[in-house]
Amino acid sequence: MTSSRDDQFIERYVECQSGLYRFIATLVPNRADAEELFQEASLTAWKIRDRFDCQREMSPWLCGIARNLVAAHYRKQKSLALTLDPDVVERLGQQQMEEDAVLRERARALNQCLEKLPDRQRDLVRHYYHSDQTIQSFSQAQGLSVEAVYKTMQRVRMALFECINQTLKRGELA
Amino acid sequence: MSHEPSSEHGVPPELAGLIEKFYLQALSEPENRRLNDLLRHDDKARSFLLAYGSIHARLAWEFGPTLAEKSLAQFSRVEDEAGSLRPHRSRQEESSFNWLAWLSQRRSSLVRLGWAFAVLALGLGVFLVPLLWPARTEPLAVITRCLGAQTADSRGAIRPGQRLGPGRLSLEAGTVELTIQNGARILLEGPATLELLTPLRAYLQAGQAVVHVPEAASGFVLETRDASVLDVGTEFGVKVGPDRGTEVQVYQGSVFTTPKLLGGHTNSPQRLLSGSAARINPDAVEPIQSLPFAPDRFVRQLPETKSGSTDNLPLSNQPRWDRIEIMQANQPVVVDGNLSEWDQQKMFRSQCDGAKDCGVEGAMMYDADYLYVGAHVADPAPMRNLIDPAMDGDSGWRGGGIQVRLSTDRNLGWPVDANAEIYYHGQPVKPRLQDQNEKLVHLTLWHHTPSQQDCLHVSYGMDFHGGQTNPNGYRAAFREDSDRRGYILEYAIPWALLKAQSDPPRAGDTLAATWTVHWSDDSGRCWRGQLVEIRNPSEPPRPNSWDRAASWGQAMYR
Repeated sequence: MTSSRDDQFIERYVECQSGLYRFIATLVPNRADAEELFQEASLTAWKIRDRFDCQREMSPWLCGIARNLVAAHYRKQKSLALTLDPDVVERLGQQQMEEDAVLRERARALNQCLEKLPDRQRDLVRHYYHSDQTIQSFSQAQGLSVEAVYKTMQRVRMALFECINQTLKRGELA
Repeated sequence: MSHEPSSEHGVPPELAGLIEKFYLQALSEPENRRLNDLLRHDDKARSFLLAYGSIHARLAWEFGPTLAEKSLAQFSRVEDEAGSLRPHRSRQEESSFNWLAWLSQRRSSLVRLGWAFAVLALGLGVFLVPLLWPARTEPLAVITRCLGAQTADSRGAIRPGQRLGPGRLSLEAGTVELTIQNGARILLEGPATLELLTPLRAYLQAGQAVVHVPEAASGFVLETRDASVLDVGTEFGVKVGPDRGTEVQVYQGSVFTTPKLLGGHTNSPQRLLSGSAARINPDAVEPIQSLPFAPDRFVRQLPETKSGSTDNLPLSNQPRWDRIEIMQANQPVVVDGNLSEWDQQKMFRSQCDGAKDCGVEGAMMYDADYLYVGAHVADPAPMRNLIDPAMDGDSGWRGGGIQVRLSTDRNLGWPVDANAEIYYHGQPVKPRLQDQNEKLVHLTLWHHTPSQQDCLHVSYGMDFHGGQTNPNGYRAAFREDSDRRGYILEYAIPWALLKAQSDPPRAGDTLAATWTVHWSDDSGRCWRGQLVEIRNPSEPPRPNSWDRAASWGQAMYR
């Protein structure tokens, strides 16, 4: 493979990488695990890039790689309290591909909804996700109860979910 | 926006509750089994999880530590020395895996500490934060060599052997070599501010640096406000100037440069190969523009010292002169590198402390059309300056020369209350008109040896706007001493270039001026130190004069 083709591969990969991460993090709520899987998926894609047909969409190809890695990840989990069964991962992967267009629309609507997020909530969410901490240590560092942070995160996600629904329903997508 | 959970979207409360707990990682085993059952049999349940989960994922992507470069870093590890991309070999994979394991174990605490220190530093208004690291703890980096290293805070000396943790390192002048724990080396050339974040990531806020990354540390990312530069086992230089834009030059191997767009988003990366250079400006129509490759743009290696010492303190002096008398020229001044028509009695004389072979005799004159600058500089490595006026006119001083800063604004009087932005140490201040006054002029005078040009760089205001290199209208001459231990320079600079064409200073005026004389090493590229003269004695001692005009001495026009 020539360098220019590699460069082309990387360019297309960069366009798809947020979608790849979105897919993995949707199935794996633990951020550290999701990041490792994301990196592993990226590396796997790179190593087998010769098999990628440049005429085709890259997102489904990447998500196929990720689906296998996520299923393998859950098979290795010892705790049964936070696992998705391999067949469920498979079904979710299939459905994700079927609903890809809708999910992309929702992602665009989310851009607008994030802009509407009140500053205080936005700051808390930014700090939480940027901190790389568990919710327990983050709560402690912020001087808040774990319950309060749980509630806030839940409210923010639900508010964004409903905002996306409303944006799409009213046809307000910019 | 509504802030309360709702089931208006038709999702059964049980499912909504289970999915919320899933993302909070708070499911019990029975709940987890129930969620799997629902997802297995109900496509609406799966749709909801995909839609709701993508919000969690997006927030993590949007606000979390940047992942884009991390994934590209994986690619970099399969780069061979020649820069061609090949599949991984098993040994390299093992090395990559070890690195990942190492990073995943330590990354959280390193990032956390880095931010904590950065916030603390900002909160305290601390300008110099070379974070000394406890002896028993493995440091993020160690200072391995210094040349003329000078910090903004005269108390904060930098020495080889100092151990650094995550945090900010501000270098006023000189060059420092840091060795990161994974073997990567960074040569930081002052003035510069570098923030060490992790063993594989640093942020260059200002100034220039050369990064040398051994294969084992491949994947190092140097970020700036404009771009991220991902190493792929290589050596590259990065310069962040006062204007928007980051310049990258690759000496060996290759890098991926990614312009940063507004809102933290990134553009497609572009690969720069060995022997190429580019300017990255996300605001430009073409965010990545090619630049000519110039080998001497960056300091790639510190010179060997005669004593073998790793620590060369910068040349410096205690200022002796608080004023300079600027005499009216009684006869036409011939700019020929001969100071015989200059009044030797009116020259100020000074030398570096403990270095008799580094000193200056200087004077200024004026007439209706020109300001004249004449000096003899004692310099054991005279006229070797390699700083290319075509590329780095604002850095001409690095290779040896003289800087003169002066006010031509009678209304400002003396002392002049104006500061560069950096003087405020990042504290928010309202823009002040006097800080941008174009009659505060900065002149850099040097001889570019490769092209034999006698150069002038001029910029205006304490924001250094309007920079020009070798503008029309000035005349200059350099002459090396016959014993090769110094040189003479002579300049005639038209008042028009000093923004005083219509009302030049006249006899009786007392305005502001200061001189800085710079010395380089034998190579003409590495700054060794400086002498600052014509200082306001009422101002607290400070290593430099460029950031605070009140520190300039009196310029008395006779």
